Amino acid sequence: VATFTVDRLAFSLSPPVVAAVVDFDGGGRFRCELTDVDPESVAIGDRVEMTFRRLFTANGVHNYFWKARPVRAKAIEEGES
Amino acid sequence: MASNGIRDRVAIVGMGCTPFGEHWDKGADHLLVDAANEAIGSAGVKIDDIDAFWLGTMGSGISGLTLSRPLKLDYRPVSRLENMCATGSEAFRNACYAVASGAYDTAMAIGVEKLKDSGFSGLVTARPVDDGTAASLTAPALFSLLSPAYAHKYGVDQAELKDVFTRIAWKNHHNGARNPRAQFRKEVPKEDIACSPIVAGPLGIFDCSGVSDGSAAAVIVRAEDAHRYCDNPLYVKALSFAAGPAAGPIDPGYDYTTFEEVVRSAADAYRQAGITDPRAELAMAEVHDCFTPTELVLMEDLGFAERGSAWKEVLAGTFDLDGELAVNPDGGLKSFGHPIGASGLRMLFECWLQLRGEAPAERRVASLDRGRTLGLTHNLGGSPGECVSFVSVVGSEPSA
Repeated sequence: VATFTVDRLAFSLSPPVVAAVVDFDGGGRFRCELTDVDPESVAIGDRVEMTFRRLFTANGVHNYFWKARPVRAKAIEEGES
Repeated sequence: MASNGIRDRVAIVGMGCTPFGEHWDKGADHLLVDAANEAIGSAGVKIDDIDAFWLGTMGSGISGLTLSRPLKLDYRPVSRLENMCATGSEAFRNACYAVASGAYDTAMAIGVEKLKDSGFSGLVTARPVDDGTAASLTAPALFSLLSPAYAHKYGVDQAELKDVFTRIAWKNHHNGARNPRAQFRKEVPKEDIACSPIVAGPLGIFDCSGVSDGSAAAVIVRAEDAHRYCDNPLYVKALSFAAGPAAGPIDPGYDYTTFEEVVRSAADAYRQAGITDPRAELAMAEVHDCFTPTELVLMEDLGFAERGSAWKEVLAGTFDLDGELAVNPDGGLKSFGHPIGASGLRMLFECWLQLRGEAPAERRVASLDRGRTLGLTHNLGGSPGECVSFVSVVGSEPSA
């Protein structure tokens, strides 16, 4: 996590929107929503992993794309993050 | 960045600016007429004396007809421009170039925005259709991304940084309280600012600029003709514009503590104007304080403070009316309000008043008494990592 915010105005299926700028190991960056996260606990340097989630639903059509979530403890132990 | 500049080749000889705020009884047409009439009145000309027009509006109309109809400019050249929140400055820049080129003797730059009638708070824009995969973040959230990044990079405590943001909002409300044209004309105690409802990240509603209606205009002529219109014209020293690569959201090289677009456009403007130490040479600066962290970062990007030190300078009062370099003496976007297309010209309007000694005593910037004659306007469009930046320098004296 390079930087982050909690957007209390933006729409989300799981408000409030917790957003982060995520830099990938080996290069690349993506700005997206964080999910399965405590908004108060996010910090620069946190390690997160991508997860395919529902972003929006309109007229019965679901739009799935990537969010990020804190790396699960098991993965960290095994060095798989 | 290559540019030749048009230092001292054109001058502003008249300006107008409507009060900014909630004009429920006026449309964009009314606001344009009000600003244009004040501008030509102050230049002592009639609308028929203006050869060409540049209108800036983000969403309150399309095409030159938005201006030609209310002002009855039948068959004259009218351009309509848009460059996000720097739209008003873009109208000014192009009008200046038109006069400098010799194509026209007189030009008007005018900006307008009618934001309060949309039924939504904030800026409403029609964006091109995309695939719906982008994270939808509001403007305050995008600018709040600066806060943790700045705190982390320079080792500033988040609570202390919140005090810095509060100090910026407090200062701009203090200045706006001394401005009858401002949207919010009330001083606000720091404790009220600090406790205002949170919008995004550490930003409360008092960290956000005012959503408002308004219009502002300038009459531009060649510098050698300026004294035919007024005794104390404002000379254009520098105009610079930088559109960034807009790669911040995908480029790990961007660290969310600076706007490279501002650094580049400021350096170009200072070179055009012959400025080497802006903090010591400028009398005042009007900068794009859309949200309080923006003003903090701009102090460093514009060269008013060393990297990592602007937060201390803010707390020390460096940028207050009586500080070394007054920033946003008219109240800024924060307190004067931010009708998008009008804001860049509103900034110039404060330079017009201050540098020519017409600003009321209660908000006159102290550095004028130290013989300083130059003012800067800075107008930003977009968000951190994907923005455009405009910087102008104007002055009350022609160069020797």
